[in-house]
Amino acid sequence: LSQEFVRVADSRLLREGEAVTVDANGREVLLARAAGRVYAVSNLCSHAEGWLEFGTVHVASCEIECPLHQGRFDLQTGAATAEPCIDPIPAYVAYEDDDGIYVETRSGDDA
Amino acid sequence: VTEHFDHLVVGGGFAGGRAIQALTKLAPSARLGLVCAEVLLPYDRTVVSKSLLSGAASTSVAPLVDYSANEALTVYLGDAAVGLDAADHEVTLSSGEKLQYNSLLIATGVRARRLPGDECHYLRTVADAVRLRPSLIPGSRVVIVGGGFIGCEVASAAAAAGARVTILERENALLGAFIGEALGSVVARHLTAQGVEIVTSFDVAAVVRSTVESHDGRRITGDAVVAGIGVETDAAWMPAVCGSSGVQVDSFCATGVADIWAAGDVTSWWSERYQRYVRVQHESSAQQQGLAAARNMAGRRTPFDALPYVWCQLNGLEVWQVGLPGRVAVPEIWTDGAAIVGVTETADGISSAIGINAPERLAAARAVLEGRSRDGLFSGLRRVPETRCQVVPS
Repeated sequence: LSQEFVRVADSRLLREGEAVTVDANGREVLLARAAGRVYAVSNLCSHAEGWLEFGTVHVASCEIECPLHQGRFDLQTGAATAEPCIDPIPAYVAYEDDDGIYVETRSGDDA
Repeated sequence: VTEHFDHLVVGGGFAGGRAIQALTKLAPSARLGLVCAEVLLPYDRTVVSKSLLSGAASTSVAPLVDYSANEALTVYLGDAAVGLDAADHEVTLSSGEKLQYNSLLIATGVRARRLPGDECHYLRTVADAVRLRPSLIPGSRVVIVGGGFIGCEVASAAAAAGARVTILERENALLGAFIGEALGSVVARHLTAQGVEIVTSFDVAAVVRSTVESHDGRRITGDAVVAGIGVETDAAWMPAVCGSSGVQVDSFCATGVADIWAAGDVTSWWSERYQRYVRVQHESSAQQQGLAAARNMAGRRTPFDALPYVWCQLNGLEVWQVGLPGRVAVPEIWTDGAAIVGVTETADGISSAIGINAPERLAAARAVLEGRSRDGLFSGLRRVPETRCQVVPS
């Protein structure tokens, strides 16, 4: 198992309270910004496979709400926080520096 | 007047509404058009048979998203497409307006199949629910034709409102063609406990005034008759892309006719999973396919092959089904006395999974249907013979 980071976006791409999808070494990852911080989770809801990029970022509670059935996930951990979502989605380590936004890429698992 | 759009979406249901939402994000500078036959912006259609029938519910429905935020979007409300000129890239509306497109998404959905005679309620839109609601009052006699998902939900809502409810089902069991007779009988017992009368093997010939007549001469009269007997497609305005079995599309929501895409209930889509065209008319597929079509229209090649998923709320009983049942045979049923989980099988193996009051097992069901794992779906449950599934979930 190895962990490395790949630059996925310019910081200007991601405004406060918004979500976008990026390609992280072939994996579609959702980036969201809440209270200034950047978070990265899987773009696919674990309940009915809705694309979270079209959902709503809840800044105060640091959640992303799925557009299909209003379930929610914690942006930091990927844990399901509102029904009908029960199972977590993968969450990835993300960080931001002067050059842009980076997301971890993991090999050896498909989480 | 002729308007011109980069992306024109015809149909204001789940698929069309989600497509506009996605195009707003993916193609922010594009001119978007949305044609809604109803006088409402796209809304959550599941409320029509779920919450909206309860007398306590407000009859105002919110749009899926704030469509007014997109200034490049033009919406035509209460207007329907009546003609399609695929060669000229032009759609004609019933108002006479002509709309030209660079790319077109057909998301017009389906309409309720009608019974002979015209004294019947059908349930497809908010307007339908608003018309039906005054009949769902204490003492009122409500006759429901069809024991499918819609019929069961209306029965449950009507009984909760104090009405005397009878379901007339053509087959031997409620929901039998979907979840099998044994699990269908679990639903039947739940509804019976709420006072719903269930008449099976009742094959409706016609509705005359408020009397439902069967082919074998039985008659049942109500103050209101509601029919939930399936849907049909309005193909007449778009013969270039649509037949009686819907608009055929490939895995990427494309029709094969230049610059025309389709999504939602109106489509028959090629499934890599099933290696055939499938037709699914549940909200989840419509929403996902609407989003997938928009991604494809915006140049992000995205296959759509979601597992069919339907859910049904019956006042204390919640049913979900993932997959396509096919011909229901040899269902397996597992329970712990509260939750019930079942699977339907075909010659190819497990074709669908069903949960009754088992929301936490939905992800495990998806894993089974995707061939990943059988662990989790039945854990902690015991298998019961199909014929002895007498569990009444608590």
